[in-house]
Amino acid sequence: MVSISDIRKWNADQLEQARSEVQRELQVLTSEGDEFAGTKISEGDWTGKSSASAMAAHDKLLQQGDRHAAGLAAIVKGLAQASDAVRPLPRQINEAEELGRKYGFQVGENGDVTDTFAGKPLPPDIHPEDRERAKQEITAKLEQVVRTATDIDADLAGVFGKAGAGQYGVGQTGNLTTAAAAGTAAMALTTPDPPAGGTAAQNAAWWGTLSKAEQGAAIGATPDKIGNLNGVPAVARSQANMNRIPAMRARLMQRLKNSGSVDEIKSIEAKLKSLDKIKETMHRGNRSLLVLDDTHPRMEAAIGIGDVDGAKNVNVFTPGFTTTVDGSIKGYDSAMADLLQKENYLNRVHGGGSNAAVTWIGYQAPQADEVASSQSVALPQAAQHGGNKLAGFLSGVGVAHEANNAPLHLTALGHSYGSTTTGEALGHNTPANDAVLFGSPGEGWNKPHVNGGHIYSEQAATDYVPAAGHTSDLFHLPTSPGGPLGPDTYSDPNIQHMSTNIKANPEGGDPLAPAFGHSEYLNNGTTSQYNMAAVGSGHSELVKPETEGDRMLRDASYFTPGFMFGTPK
Amino acid sequence: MQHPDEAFAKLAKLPSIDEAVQQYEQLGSQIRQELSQEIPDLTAWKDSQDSVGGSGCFNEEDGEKRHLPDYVVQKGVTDQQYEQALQIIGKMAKPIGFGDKPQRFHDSPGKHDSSFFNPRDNTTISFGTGKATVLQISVGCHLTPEAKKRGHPSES
Repeated sequence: MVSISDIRKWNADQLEQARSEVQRELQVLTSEGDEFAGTKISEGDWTGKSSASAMAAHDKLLQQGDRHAAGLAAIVKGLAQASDAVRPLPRQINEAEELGRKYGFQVGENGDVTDTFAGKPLPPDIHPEDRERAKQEITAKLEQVVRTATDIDADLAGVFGKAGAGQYGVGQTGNLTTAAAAGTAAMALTTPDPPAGGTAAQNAAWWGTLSKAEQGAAIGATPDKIGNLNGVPAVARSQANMNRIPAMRARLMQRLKNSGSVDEIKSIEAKLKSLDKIKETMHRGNRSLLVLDDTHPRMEAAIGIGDVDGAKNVNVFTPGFTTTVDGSIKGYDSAMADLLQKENYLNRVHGGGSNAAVTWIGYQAPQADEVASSQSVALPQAAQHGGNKLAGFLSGVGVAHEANNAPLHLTALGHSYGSTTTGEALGHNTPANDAVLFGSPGEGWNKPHVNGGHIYSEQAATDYVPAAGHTSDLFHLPTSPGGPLGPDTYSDPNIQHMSTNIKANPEGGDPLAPAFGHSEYLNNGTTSQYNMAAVGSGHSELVKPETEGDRMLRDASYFTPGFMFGTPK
Repeated sequence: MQHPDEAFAKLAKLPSIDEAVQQYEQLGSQIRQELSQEIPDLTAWKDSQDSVGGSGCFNEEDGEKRHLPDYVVQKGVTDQQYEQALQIIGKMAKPIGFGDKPQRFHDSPGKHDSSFFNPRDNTTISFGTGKATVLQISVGCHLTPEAKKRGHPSES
């Protein structure tokens, strides 16, 4: 296995120079060899024992020439590919060193990583969780550099070995140019597969070690391997996932023809409809298809708006109960577009960077017909499983920003059961800086936390979902707060409550911008949406906090629905 | 929740999204002109040249919302000028259905965000000041020209 110190000495230009020299030799060989092949002695020109001997020698030389020409051509190709493939490696080592300097780690000559703050307090501007992630990224980069380099080395050694053993060539052709073409066509270097079960940091590191040509080939030829890989750049994932759609559709159509059960037919039809809805949403423009997975009972997908890998502020929204890709992705994408427009406005008025948003339906959100199953909306399992996947996705956004050296303020938004999924995700070490859990039946059991910012919640009048989560609070019962989906957002002292502008008598009086019930939090122009945009755009100072009056009116709304409260139309 | 046919019939009474956009672009232009005339600090309006574009509404097939590009003056205005500007916008927007009083999302010295809302079509006109002054129009849900011509909801 090669080492980091070996790789530091590798020189792509020398490989290119060697290629150029071998290429020249190959040209001489094919040109003179083809001329020599043309001088073949025909029977009748020269007869006798020495003639036969001369013809045999001529053939033998041509056979040798065939193998040499093919072998040299394979070496030329191998050197060209190796020269291209090794170029990203020093850059990756440099990036690991750079990241190390930023977070207090030193990368040694041979790739060993030492903590330069060992035994000393961390500077206040370095968050320990950010630092831990940085260390993982540094280690991943160095590991993947070695892995890819070892692969290049083995592949190139294989080419030399085969050429030396005369294993290239097409046999006696009498034409060395043809033999050389066969050598060029032979497989030379292969691209290493993504790391099995890789983290976002490992996947990003692997991707970074590939040349542009290898990356392009992966998107075109093996899109299934990279479309859902957290850590791979959004543009590449999106292109790969779009490339996967025709084959996925064909496979589903085939399965539909062969399926017998009503449930299976319904499931496949919903997946086919999901592909239609995804394509229609992508057609809106400035979108990226970041997740596409048809291997579960229901399709999973995520669509981003804007530059998800480069925008300063990225919002990742997870919806909840009854969400499906076929039924929900277009609507939620519209809501994210509205939110993004509001965030762009806020950053223009008050200063700040660019914004992007993602609708993430990368999990099996519970459905109405699953209430009695382990996937039930009343149980945390679906949220826990989804939360693990969401944490990986959030990490991918963070790693991609690191790779672009772009600052990131990441906000996780979760609605309804999606807030439980979001809460479960935030129990992991993710790069999320802020979160908004709205209409939440519970924050999950994974102790959600964010880096540097806050977790906020919103609870609208007449929304019974969060009310169910804090009945003990509502009725002043001496029971422990929260239900099966974890502590409710109102019993968690670390959560800040934002206003949804609850007021009585919405039909008259002052102009209002309230959200009512369970489904209006993201409505354009509401206080609820404004608050989310303020958090998501990095302007938490603009947030309208919930007042005691808001809270009293909201609690009253559960007992007087439709009388004093309702949606003004 | 409204029945789809009922909701469609309500939207069918409004102009198509293309017509609505034209109408609101004109209103935006008139508002900026009036603001420039009345408040000398608000003269150098610049088109932000970007928007998140359109997004769906009403079964996500037949309706469309459209976010118009923001118009920006790269300076804030005084609290007094801001109030004056809100009065101008309210007065100009009222005849086409907007409330003349804005929803005030944020007010602190030198920093303000407000929106005027048109309950007829859920269009919002947002106006804020701080480091810059911005006028934003988000056109609410209208039928696409195709849906309006068809006269009934598509099967989605």
